Amino acid sequence: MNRAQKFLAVFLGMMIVFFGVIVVRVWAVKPPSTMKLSPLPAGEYDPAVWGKAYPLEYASYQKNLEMAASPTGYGGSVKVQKADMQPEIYTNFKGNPFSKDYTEDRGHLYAIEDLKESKRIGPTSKGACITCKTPYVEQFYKESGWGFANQPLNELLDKSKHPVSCANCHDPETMNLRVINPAFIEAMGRQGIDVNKASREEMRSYVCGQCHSEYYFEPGTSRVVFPWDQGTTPQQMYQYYAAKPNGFQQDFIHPDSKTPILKAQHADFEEWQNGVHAKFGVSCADCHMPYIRENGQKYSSHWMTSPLKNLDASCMPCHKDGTDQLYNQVKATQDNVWQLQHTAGLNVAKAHEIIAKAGNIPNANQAQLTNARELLRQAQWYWDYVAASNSMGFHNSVQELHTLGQSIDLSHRAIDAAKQAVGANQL
Amino acid sequence: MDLGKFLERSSLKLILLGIVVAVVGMALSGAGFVYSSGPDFCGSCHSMNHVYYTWQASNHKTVTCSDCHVPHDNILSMIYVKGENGMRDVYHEFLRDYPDTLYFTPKGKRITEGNCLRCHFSTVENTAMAAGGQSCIKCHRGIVHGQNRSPGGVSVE
Repeated sequence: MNRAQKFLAVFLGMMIVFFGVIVVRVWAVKPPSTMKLSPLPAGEYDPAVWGKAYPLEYASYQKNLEMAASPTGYGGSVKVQKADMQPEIYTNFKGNPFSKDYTEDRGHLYAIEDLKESKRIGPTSKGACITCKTPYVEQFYKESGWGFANQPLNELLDKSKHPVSCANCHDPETMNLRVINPAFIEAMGRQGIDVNKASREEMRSYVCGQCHSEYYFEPGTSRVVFPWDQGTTPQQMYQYYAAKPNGFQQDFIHPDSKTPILKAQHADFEEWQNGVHAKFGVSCADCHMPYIRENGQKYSSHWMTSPLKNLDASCMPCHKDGTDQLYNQVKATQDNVWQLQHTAGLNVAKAHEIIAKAGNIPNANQAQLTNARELLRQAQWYWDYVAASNSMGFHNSVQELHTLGQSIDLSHRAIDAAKQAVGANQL
Repeated sequence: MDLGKFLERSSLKLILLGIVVAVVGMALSGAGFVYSSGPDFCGSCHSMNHVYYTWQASNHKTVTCSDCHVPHDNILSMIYVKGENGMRDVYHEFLRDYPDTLYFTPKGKRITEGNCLRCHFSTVENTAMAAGGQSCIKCHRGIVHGQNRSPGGVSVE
């Protein structure tokens, strides 16, 4: 071979290798489009064991350890007192542990740690609190039914080795989605919905809804009950509570205004259900656990966080008009809801003060005072339904703004009724 | 035998061979050009799965990828854009660093909207829109690669 031939041979060889590698990488060896199942034994609750079989999901789940403010400044996963931003919490929850400690909760991995550190619990706390903190609730319920709800919380905390993790939402043998909170299964059953027959798309919301919901503890048994029998709007749930279900009357009686108060708890699933995304079939996981890619492999992000942290994967598959525009839209919605929520909370606080004063005045009209307390109870429930939720109104801004408007009106009517009870010039 | 003599003796054969090579080459390039403009080829890339399935379920399933995504005003710009797009796609497909959601570049949007008018100009030619300057896709979004039509999810096997 002369030089030209050698050169040509080397050149051709390099071209074949170069294009060969491209063809193999791009067309022949594609990233897998499915997950390989590796069945785990029932009762395996350690997420690290699951992580060996499903490393991508596990790595994204570990991101829940991040402690950061939410992009719009509402909520987030940093331990701060909610009362810092809305001091009316001290007045509105006076006499209730929420006035002592109302810490912003952190990610799923901190569920047990946050519970242990909360000043709301103590040696007398009931086991019911463990229901949404760990997959071990499956075992507790199997062993003793709802009996675990009345056992001392500390005993169950010792047995719960892992926080909210894989087994809360997945069947270890098939990886299918499942729900294990008996309160959710019962509440859905009372509405005629068998969660065992739910479609995958429905389960992508149910697994979240089994905990991100409003509930109360049944007096006596401490059983967790979801108040959905008449519907899931704040009005329907208030009606349900008005009938004193299972003997449940209130979470606490306000020491100043003597008003029996309902404490709302993160009704995120309910807000979403009545909102526009649910109506169009968009599940919780579609936005909070979007499909992402690693090396071309598609998988569900298990970093359950604000969709605003990854607009590209969460919102853009449907809303294609640019991330800036969308972010600004969400921010504006939340700013509006926050302003009205703060106003509603301040009005509730003012109503507590005025009813407390009226209650101390001798010869006050008791019937009108009772009426004022009923109006305030309702006003606080409507305020708290929004204030206790995690989306600052995003999940259903139309409903939340309406609910807050009602709360403000009810507070004013409560104040008017208290003034009438004692005569106009006394307050 | 040196090169000069070889060429002298077999010039006719070489010319014939040249013609055959040219004809076969042109036929192959033409076929390759057409094939590589179609959905079967474009959809063979991993990053194009979603757009492939959505296109297949759309009312534009009778037109091919390049009917919309490559300019058709002249052959040179067509070949240039096709080559540029193809190289960019192969590059990112090789690195597997394509994003979760694919977007138009401003240039890609311009090209595609030009192609909307290639077929649909008669619809707008007697309206105020004929003055130009509007974006078709701003209102008619999701026409082809619309929402919720792809086989979603990640299955476990």
